[in-house]
Amino acid sequence: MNRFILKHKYAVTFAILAILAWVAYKQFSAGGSAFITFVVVAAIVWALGTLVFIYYWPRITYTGFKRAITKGVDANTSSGIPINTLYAVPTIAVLSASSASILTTGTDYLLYVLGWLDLSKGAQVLHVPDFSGRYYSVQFIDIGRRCLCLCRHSRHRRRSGRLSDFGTELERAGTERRHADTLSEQRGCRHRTRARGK
Amino acid sequence: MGQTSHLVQGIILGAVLAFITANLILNAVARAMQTTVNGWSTTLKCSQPGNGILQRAACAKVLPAVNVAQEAAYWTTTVDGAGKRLNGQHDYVLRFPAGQLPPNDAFWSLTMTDVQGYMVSNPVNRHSVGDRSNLVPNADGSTDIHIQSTTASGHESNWLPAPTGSFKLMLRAYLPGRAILDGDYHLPPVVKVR
Repeated sequence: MNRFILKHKYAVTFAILAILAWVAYKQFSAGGSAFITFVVVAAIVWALGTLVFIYYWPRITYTGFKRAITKGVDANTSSGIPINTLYAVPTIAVLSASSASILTTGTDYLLYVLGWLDLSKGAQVLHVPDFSGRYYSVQFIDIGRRCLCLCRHSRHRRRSGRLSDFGTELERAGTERRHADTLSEQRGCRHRTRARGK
Repeated sequence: MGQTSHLVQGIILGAVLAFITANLILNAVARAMQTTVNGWSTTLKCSQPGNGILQRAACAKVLPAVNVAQEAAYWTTTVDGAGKRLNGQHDYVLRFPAGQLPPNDAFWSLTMTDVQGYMVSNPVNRHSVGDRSNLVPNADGSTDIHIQSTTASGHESNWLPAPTGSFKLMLRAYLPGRAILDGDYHLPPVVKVR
């Protein structure tokens, strides 16, 4: 659906506007107080709605990501990725592949690790596996506090490690592992690592 | 019943117009945040904690979940150096002069997508080239990336396959160098050669 809208956005917009123009014309033809009501209501909703859409645009966007993550991003996660579990997409570029629709502007130079964190019941610990010295970063997106731009990252250089470790390495605080964050809001987390060796 | 119908239709019309208006405003804000040099557009302003509502919304629209500039810098283009739409009916070359590859402390890559931003299938299953692609430099130290829909004979290692129709290029540099963050580094233009 996302891909369809992106590809045909102008045609879809034109079709919707054409229908609404016909509705407006019918209202105008009817005339009287009903038409005035129609115009006033439309103008008020237009003005307020524009502000609401802009204000909530990031939340709308990331809610879409949340839905995609919790519903599953590929055939291996058709039942969805459980909350507070990170999933390493095993096939590079799958998120932006020609047959996909979850994410535009991705690249096959990165291995994406996705997860949706719910920290409302307490802090979580994110253990970062050994990436053999390859570059990686961890990005948090906080939609609960509208601090959507907040990004935190780590760059460690360790020896061996397995990406599959991520499936179980998000645990409760209290170990000696690295704290991911301690905010008490929901956060989307996208973890990237270089998918190709040096 | 009749009055309710007018109300509902007014609400629907207003909501649709609001959605379209918000799109237009956010597109305009995103354009204002970008700088374009040699056809490549970039912004270093997304994901900054101090961004206001308009900037956050515009970034969420055009570059959702993007990193802060200190982590990654992104450039996109849908036009060549002459301002003409990139299209697989033509062949292009992106030439980095000697020593002018994107400065970074992690990696850089150039990704081919359709105009919507999705990768494009190709026979060699290559969607990106970059600093880990074993690009072969020219004798003078410059590096050419051949962007075309057919095999770049003699330049296979520097070939980024293009679709037969319109396309978009995205270049990213992770842990970008100081010259990028200061706005002093500019990507060279994509030049049409056929």
